[in-house]
Amino acid sequence: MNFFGIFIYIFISLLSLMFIAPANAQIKDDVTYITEFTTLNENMAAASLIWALNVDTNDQSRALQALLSAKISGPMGAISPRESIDFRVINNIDLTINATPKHLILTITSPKENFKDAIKHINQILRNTEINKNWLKRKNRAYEEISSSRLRTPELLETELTDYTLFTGNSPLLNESALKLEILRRPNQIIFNAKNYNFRNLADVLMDGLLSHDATLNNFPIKPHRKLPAGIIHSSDENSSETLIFIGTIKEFKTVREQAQTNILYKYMGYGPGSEMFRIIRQEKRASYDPRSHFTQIGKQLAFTGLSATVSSKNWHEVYDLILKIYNDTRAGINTEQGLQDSRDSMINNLVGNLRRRPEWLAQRYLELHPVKPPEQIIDIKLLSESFSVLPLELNNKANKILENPVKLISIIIGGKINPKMEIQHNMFCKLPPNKRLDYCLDKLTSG
Amino acid sequence: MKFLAYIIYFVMLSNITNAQTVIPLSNTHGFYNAYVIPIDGRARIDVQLVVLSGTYDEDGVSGIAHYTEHLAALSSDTKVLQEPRQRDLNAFTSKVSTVYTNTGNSKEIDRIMLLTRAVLETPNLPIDFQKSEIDIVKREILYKERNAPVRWLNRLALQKLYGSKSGRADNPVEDLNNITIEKAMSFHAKHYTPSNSILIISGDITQSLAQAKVTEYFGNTLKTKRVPDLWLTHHPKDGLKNRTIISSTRILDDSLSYAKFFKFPEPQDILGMQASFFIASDIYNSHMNDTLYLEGFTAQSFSQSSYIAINGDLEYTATLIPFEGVSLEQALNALEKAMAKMRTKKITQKEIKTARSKNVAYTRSLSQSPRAYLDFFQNLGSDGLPPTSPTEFAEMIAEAPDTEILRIIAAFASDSPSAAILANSESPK
Repeated sequence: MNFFGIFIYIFISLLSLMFIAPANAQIKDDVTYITEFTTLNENMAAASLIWALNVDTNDQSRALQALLSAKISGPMGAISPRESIDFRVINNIDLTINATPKHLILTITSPKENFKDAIKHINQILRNTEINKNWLKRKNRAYEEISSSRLRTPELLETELTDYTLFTGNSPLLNESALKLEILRRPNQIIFNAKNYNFRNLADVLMDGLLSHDATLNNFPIKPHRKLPAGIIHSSDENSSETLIFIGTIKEFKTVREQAQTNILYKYMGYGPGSEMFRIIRQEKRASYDPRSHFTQIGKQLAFTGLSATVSSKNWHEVYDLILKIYNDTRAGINTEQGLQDSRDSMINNLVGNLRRRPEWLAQRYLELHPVKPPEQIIDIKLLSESFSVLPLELNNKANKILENPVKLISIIIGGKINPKMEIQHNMFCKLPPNKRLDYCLDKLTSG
Repeated sequence: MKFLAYIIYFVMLSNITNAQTVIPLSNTHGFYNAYVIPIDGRARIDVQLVVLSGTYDEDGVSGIAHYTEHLAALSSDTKVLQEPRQRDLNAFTSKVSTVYTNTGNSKEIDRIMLLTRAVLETPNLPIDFQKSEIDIVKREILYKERNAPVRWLNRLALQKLYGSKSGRADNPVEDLNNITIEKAMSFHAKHYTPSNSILIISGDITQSLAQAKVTEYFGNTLKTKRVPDLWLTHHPKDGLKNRTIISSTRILDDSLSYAKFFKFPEPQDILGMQASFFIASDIYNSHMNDTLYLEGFTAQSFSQSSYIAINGDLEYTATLIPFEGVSLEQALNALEKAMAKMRTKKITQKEIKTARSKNVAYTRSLSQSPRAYLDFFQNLGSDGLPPTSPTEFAEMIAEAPDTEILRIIAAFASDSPSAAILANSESPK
């Protein structure tokens, strides 16, 4: 076996980790790098298997995930899908698939006492070369994209805008047999995570019988991500009772500290019952059940950010103005000390929760820094240390620099009647035709 | 399959850590029942007030139980907290109960008990606020409906099964404009009494302290009669086989929603049946899933749910999106055929053993989440039954008799009243 073992420990307290990793090297598909973290809850263990695959279209990314999902769910030789499912339920084994433009990630989590069996099970799955055609059809359909204008949910909107930003190419879709080869090979990296657990030999078990061959996809370079345009998109529906309002952008941060600061301000605006969106939109104005903010890291110093609420179609434009006011007030720095402190605590709680319970989250943060291989000595995920050191009180003076100027934000309205003032006065307005995807307007606004 | 057999053996012999015992309090004062569940190593105390009435108990207008839940929770916060409405609602309305959960550390026990007590008092909030809370309930119902359009289809199937839009079926979206403050107050006055509620105190607390606090805060409450569950007599017509075909732009895919009801001829020992019910539904669901989804490719997706009422009535619902090339009619035929096959299917010892292991594994997984523990406690509590702890439930699972399990599987598979909605997805214009 030709794989390098690098054992690196990240603790919740990170003050001593201050080494910057060297620049990334070229991908070598004949080598598998092993990294070890120790952040999960005491009784849990996890392994993230990472295939370096440069994917520049959403369709290709979804096809890869569907293929891996079909491999996991379908029959494996003499073992039926039922037997696999029962085995995973009995052993409390959880599998998750994540994809970015540069990586396909399969994460296995289980109680420590079952982890060795979980790893053997995953090896069986990965060694299985036959992917059942019906399972693949089913998974391809399950991974089809759903337009946010159809179901009108903020979660679908977030996915649609994120995919638009990250997948920037138009490479043709690989055919099924070529795709299969991409994930029949050994993963390029494996990240283990558990406290007080000896992972010795488990990488051997995981990769037993897996072939090492060059991938096709990771030989192509990836274009940089797109920027979301500013302006207003309205997918109107005069018969709707409800309208989804979103105001936000995908923000690239100059520093990790700025990322943490922005996160705190978005938490202040719309995270939980103490936030401005909840206090004003829900409790004072009684206008929405689900007012909230969004802050989701989607790349290195890159996050989906925004405010959203689903409101009555009759008066959506009044709530729209109110959401903008909340944004502008927060940006003006007239924020309460206690609120900022609570928001900082919420961010830290989320961070610690992710470290303890979401190994796939940590794997993604690590891969943003080290997409090809681990650094020579020590890993410094600065996001963690910087997040801990942000002082909430310093944010009021800087809020107008941290939060984007509102003219640079995109507003997306799904449902309700078009507000004629908005249509006439705003020179960056796009009415989304029925049955068209958001891309139609995003491209139009981008090209001006 | 050697590895599977080994794992089952291993799980069954493993001890579940953090054993907990459910202790009934000796003096429940006005409560229908009250329990304490001390949990070693838990740094917090949770108090669950389970009002034994939910959507099934609504009198003609759907959504009243839910709206009452909002008013009672917000009123309780307003009375006790210095900064009311600065937290999200800590309550949940189900078919048969409404559960309020208050949490804190051991120093906060008095505040938690005050919040709990205030839920049972007549909601006291400004009229404008009460009125506008109806809008929040509307937005919430529509929000949930939009996130899962299939809820609507399941509701239609239950309406067809029971021939009604109230009781065991409901109609929350169409009734949104019929919700009033008066109806909620009337619902509260009738159902929110100590004798129609149970109290579950769990976590970092001793039996004696729990008893003392129940006496301190509920000592002046008197035992009255529990509100009867009128919906228990609400049954479908014998021999019903309702099939309804509709078209809608609300759903993304063609979808089949199916509901079925079974009544045992004799009254059942529901507490004794619980563990057998969990195992039986697991085995039955697994067979149906194997036939239609895992091996059969009738379904693109398939989900099942079942409920056993306090008198033993069984309700089974299923939602199926057909696989590519399968029509809704073919899907329904396959579903009914799979059910019919279960009537003669011999269930093996290995299957029963596997289902027991899966349920034990489930109870073990609860230790990962305090919230999951609470859901577990309130599950049986919602029917007015004593809650079981995960430890006790694991023992019940091990002891559930095979004959009882097989009897319940036969009930699931029986040719009993059913309703199906065959919904064709239309593209929006």
